[in-house]
Amino acid sequence: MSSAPATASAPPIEVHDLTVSYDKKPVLWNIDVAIPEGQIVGIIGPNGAGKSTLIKSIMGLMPAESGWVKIYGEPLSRQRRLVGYVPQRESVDWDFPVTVRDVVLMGTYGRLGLFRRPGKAERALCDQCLEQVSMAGYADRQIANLSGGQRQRVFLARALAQDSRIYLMDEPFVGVDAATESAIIELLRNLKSQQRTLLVVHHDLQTAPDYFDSILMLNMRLVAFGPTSDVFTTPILQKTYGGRLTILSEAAEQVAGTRR
Amino acid sequence: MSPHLSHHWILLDSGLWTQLVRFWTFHDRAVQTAAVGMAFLAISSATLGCFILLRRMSLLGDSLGHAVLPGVCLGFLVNLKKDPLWILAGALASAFLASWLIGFLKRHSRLKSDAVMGLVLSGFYGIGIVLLTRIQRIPAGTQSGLRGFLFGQASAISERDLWVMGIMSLVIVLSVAVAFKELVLTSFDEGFATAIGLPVRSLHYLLMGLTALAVVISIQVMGLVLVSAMLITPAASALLFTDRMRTLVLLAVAFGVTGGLLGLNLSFLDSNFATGPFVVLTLAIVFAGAYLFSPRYGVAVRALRRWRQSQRTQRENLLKSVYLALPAGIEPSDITIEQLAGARREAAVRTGRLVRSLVHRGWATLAHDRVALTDAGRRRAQELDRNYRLWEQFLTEEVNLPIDHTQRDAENIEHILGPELVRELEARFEQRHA
Repeated sequence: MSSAPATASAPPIEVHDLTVSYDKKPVLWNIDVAIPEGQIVGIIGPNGAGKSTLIKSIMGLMPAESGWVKIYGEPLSRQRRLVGYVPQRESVDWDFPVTVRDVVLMGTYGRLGLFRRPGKAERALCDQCLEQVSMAGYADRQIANLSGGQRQRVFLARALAQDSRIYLMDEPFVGVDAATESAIIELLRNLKSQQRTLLVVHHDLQTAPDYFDSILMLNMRLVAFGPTSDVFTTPILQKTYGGRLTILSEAAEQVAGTRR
Repeated sequence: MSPHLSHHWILLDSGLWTQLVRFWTFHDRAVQTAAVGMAFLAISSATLGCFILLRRMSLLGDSLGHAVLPGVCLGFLVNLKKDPLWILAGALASAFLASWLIGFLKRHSRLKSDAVMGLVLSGFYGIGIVLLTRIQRIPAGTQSGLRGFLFGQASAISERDLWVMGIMSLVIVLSVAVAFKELVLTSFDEGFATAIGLPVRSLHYLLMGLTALAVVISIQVMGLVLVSAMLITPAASALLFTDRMRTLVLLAVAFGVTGGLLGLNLSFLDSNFATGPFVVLTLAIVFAGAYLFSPRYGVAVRALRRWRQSQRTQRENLLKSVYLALPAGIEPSDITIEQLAGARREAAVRTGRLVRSLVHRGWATLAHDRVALTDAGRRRAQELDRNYRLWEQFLTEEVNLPIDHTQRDAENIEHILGPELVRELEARFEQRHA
């Protein structure tokens, strides 16, 4: 493991009063949440609720307008090694001239540091990670020839190679076959059993209560957060998906208007 | 005129063959200088081009190329001489100003990057042309050879230019080699690169800066209007051959250097020829060759492969129909080409051609217009028949297709099934029926 948590009591991820804008339009308002350790946490909400934005801003990929994020009590810049990331599959060009192994090796770059080449140890780790997602035979394939499920497995193998305490995953279950879906959830449970914390953007309400220990209901603001049994209830779901949020999006439009 | 400036004038007096030999043996000093300069710029441009292409910034090279003109003119105006250092400084300053402006306008307007680049490209080029026209009016300007910067004049590079080009390309190649892993990752997945803490912005500016350098050292030879060809075309050709990043860069360099030298050779056939257009031409020919004949993605290669496969299917179908028409064990056959053609409802000429191709493979004999199968032909026909049945069985038993759906599929697949798959199918059914 990379390093011990800074403060024993500090939660893996703490988000405080986080407001994030996309193209000057606020998409997340004043989010406050502390993710507990060793759980699989789902982020659920309708399209445009800011699910991806939330994990992108936790990862520092989108600047926050206000508020802060702490990883085990420290700012992200000091804790990057502790956080693994699985971006949306569509975010990259799969025709890019790299092999499966090249992509998985990228997971080791953070630890390697600038300008150092991956060596034998990294390649061995990479093979092991591919094994864990049942893609061992594909190491030398070009990534363009992979199916959707296989691509997702490659991204997961890359995250495994990061060997992080916390994992943020953006829609890992979208557009994968049933076999891959169950392989992924098994992998997530396995990571959880090693006391790792997982924050997963999810869109499928059917499977949500089965997959997650806690759920974060999001619709531009935090609707509810807590153990799945407390949060995954009809009133809260209605509150999250219901149409009573028009005021917030209209306000966002107006905010954007004054800034343009 | 000094002896080494007049070198390639001599080339004109001799025949084409002599000229080629003279060029490729690099005897003339000026040919040497130009060729080495071409190699330097091809190596650096082609290397960077791979990243620029993959990051979809292809228009950047074109913009930077056009944008250096004002700087080149100002560099000349400093002491009214073509001093490589002043020209280089002016060009670099101009290129950096342009790339800063591109970034600034992108951030502070609604315009997307293609529009911004188009704006900056034409604006800077316009200013440059105005300056160039003014310079042409002053006495020192008329002989300056600055016009050579527009379309390139390889014979105009001096040894001092060569030093500058050499050092700059060394800087470029070393930077890319050192930051290779980082450049590949940020080009492939910028989000992930940021997430693991790579200095994504600095890497972007590094690439922009190196590209500006490559453009600036190329303009004397390639011409600023045409520099982008050396960035994009070799990389684009190489992308048709390989799926590996390292191979891509090496191939692009090979294409760039080859195309560059060939173009240089052509441009040396006459002293008035500009270099850039010929190099662009040879690079375009290299690309056309790659487009048609690259083993994996070549259009002609793929068409040939499809044609061969269809020939094979037709041939083997005929083999099978001869085999099935023969009563077991009876030979020589009584089948004539006419009969076969009738049964297959095709022209006898066509059947005849196919039969001859069977004979050619040693699968059949043809005597007095009568067709007979050889042992090898019989074996292949049996193999095809078995493959057909195996696949049909697989489709009905495992895929659960109704029998009337399987025929068409099975008939196509029998020609393609490899020995391994056949063995696997056989094993599967043997197990089932045991």
